[in-house]
Amino acid sequence: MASTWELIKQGAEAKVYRGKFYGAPTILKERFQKKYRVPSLDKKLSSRRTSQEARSMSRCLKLGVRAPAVYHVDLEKRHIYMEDVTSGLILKEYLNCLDPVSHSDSLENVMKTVGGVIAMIHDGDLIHGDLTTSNMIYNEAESNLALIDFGLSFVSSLAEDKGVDLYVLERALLSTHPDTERLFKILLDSYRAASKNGDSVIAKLDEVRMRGRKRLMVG
Amino acid sequence: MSPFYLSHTYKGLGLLKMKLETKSDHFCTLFLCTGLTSAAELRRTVLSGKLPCCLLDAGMICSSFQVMVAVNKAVISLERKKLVTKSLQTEIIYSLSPSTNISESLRLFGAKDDSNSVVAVFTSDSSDSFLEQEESLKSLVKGLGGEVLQDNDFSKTLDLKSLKKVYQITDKELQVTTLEKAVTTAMSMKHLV
Repeated sequence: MASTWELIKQGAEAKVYRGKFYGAPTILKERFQKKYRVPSLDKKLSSRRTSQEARSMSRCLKLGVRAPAVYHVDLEKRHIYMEDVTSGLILKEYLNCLDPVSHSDSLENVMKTVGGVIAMIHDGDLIHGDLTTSNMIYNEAESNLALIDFGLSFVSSLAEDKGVDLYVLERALLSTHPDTERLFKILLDSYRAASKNGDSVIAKLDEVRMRGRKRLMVG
Repeated sequence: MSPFYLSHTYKGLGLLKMKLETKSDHFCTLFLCTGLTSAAELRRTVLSGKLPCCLLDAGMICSSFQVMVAVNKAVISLERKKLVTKSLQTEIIYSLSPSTNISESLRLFGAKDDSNSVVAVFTSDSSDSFLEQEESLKSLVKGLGGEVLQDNDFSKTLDLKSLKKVYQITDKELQVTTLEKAVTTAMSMKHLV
């Protein structure tokens, strides 16, 4: 009797399935083959990204931030079997359920938690790369936050990269939730308080805001 | 392309049936044996080939999930003809280790002559032979003054301090995940570039 894997998401790079792995609720991320790419290059890129993603998850856990645990990595098949984090709600859904006026306390609490968590991974030089409210799982009762989808993660100590990471989140928040300017300020204050060199990252963030995510290559 | 299907079902006491949806079926079962006066005799029997299993140091095992993940890895290597060690049995021990050094891995995770508790792992392409093997294991263990535990409760035999040291698991990490998950994560990091 083979266990079944239910397709839950399909992106540009991978398919995501939900199922069981030796009894444990598991998410399977499969980077599929890209037919238009030269096979040897495709293989190289996929396996590099697969291992990069798995290692980022491990690094995140080591920094004391909740992330899916890795159960098994199959580089040949480009598979990552990881823990299915079910301890909370996707932050996006959670925010949508909150009324900005009557739940302003809850909103402020979430933003503080998010800021603190990002400061923790940035202090460990881990850049998430795709910080959006869909990639965070929030548990209100314990007020803890888990990060998921480390597909674009990398290690860097540059304030520039950390600033861009925050900028991506700011843009994601602005486009999906109302009254985010005030909320993002709360998030940044909490980030600054928790982070070792929050000031320089936030100074970079201001720079990034002026010019956009991509660095200008002039001269 | 269909993903790699895996399944498990529990069949009776301590018996874990594992099946891989590849060319062949693979089944696996494991037993926690404690109270041995010495594991030397047991090791000799296994090394002579009379008991087709691999013996793990129970101190380094925190759950059956940890073992299943290692067996899974070893069987995949076998099927792809990519065994790093000489047999599936040693490959299972090697798969448990976060280190790529084979002799070090066997030393850390394999049962030693003076071990009091060991985990016996049987693998086979059919689960029919398991009953017989279970009986011979039980009589051997009994002869050595030990017993085969019915509940596979690894907390009694776990050497937490050594386990954390070998897998380099920190207390910080354990605040956000469980020991079992931290262990499989550390196991998965092996061979990643």
